[in-house]
Amino acid sequence: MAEGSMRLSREAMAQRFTSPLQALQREHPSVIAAQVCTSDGFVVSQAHSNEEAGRRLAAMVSSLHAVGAAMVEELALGDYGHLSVEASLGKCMLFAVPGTNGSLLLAAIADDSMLWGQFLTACRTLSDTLGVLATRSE
Amino acid sequence: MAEEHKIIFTGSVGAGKTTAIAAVAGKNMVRTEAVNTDTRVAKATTTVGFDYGEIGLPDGSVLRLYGTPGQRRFAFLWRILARGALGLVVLVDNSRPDPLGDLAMYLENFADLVKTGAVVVGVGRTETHPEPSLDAYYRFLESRQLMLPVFAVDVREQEHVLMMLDVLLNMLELAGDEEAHHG
Ligand SMILES: Nc1nc2c(ncn2[C@@H]2O[C@H](COP(=O)(O)OP(=O)(O)OP(=O)(O)O)[C@@H](O)[C@H]2O)c(=O)[nH]1
Ligand SMILES: [Mg+2]
Repeated sequence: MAEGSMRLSREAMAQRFTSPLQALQREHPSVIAAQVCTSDGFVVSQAHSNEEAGRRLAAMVSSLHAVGAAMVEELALGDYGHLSVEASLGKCMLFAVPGTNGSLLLAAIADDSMLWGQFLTACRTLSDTLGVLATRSE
Repeated sequence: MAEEHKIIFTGSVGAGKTTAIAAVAGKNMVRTEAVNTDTRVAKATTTVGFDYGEIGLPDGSVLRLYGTPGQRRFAFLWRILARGALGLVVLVDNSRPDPLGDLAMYLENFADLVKTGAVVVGVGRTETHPEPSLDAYYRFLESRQLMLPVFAVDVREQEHVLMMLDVLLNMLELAGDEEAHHG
């Protein structure tokens, strides 16, 4: 059950998430930033060091996620998967961490050298890993 | 001619922006609530995107109601949501530590809309928290050269919300039909 994640403190989750987030950046140097935040827009864990940028990103990620999910619901498109934004200088990818009832979100930003498919796969894999870590009880 | 008018509900976290729009727009509203994890906010959920609801007016025009998030970290959305809006409802929770300061903060952040003058202020929880009084609100607004109507409201009551919208529409002179009969 998803409740396992609710009982973990934010600090405990942050510790669990740091290393997989850093691994994403290590394996894909085009990834500029990666973070896990709560669905109400607070940073849980991030791989980059700029705290203010991280806080701002978390608020935007929670808004985008909520608007995307509202749109999926309005259009009766089933279950929300992920949201992506493409810009001339880079891309953003936004996933709901599985098993957390939408309470945790993964956001990653890559520069324009990252290929879409590669980015999508890397984020999906990371998001699944985070889901396992978030719901693992011990 | 069917027209659409965009109205913004903003104000303190927990003042009842989402509740107000639900009270008048009913089940078809769009919500973007997230579970609240901030212990300083005594509420199960909080708006992180925007609320959206519609009301049809007798002349066939439509009021599009947008509720903003109240929390400051979502201020980037305030500017986006304010675009194209004709009127503003600012809801203040009188049980918070500094309701007049809250009001000032939202008025500053929606300054462009405030300049147009179509703004009403709704003060909530006045039965349990009578201070600041409505007089204090009027004095506060006047000290800022603002002549805005202030109401004590319970946004859970549909009538209270409709009353504020009615006043706002009159200020916008959108309720033109009745006036046309004066002739
Ligand atoms: N007792 C009491 N409760 C009220 C009154 N007005 C609003 N409420 C309650 O206060 C809560 C307001 O919650 P929301 O509508 O989510 O507030 P909001 O302004 O949308 O908050 P954010 O989106 O988080 O900024 C609801 O539970 C209302 O029922 C009032 O006058 N008296
Ligand atoms: Mg709300």
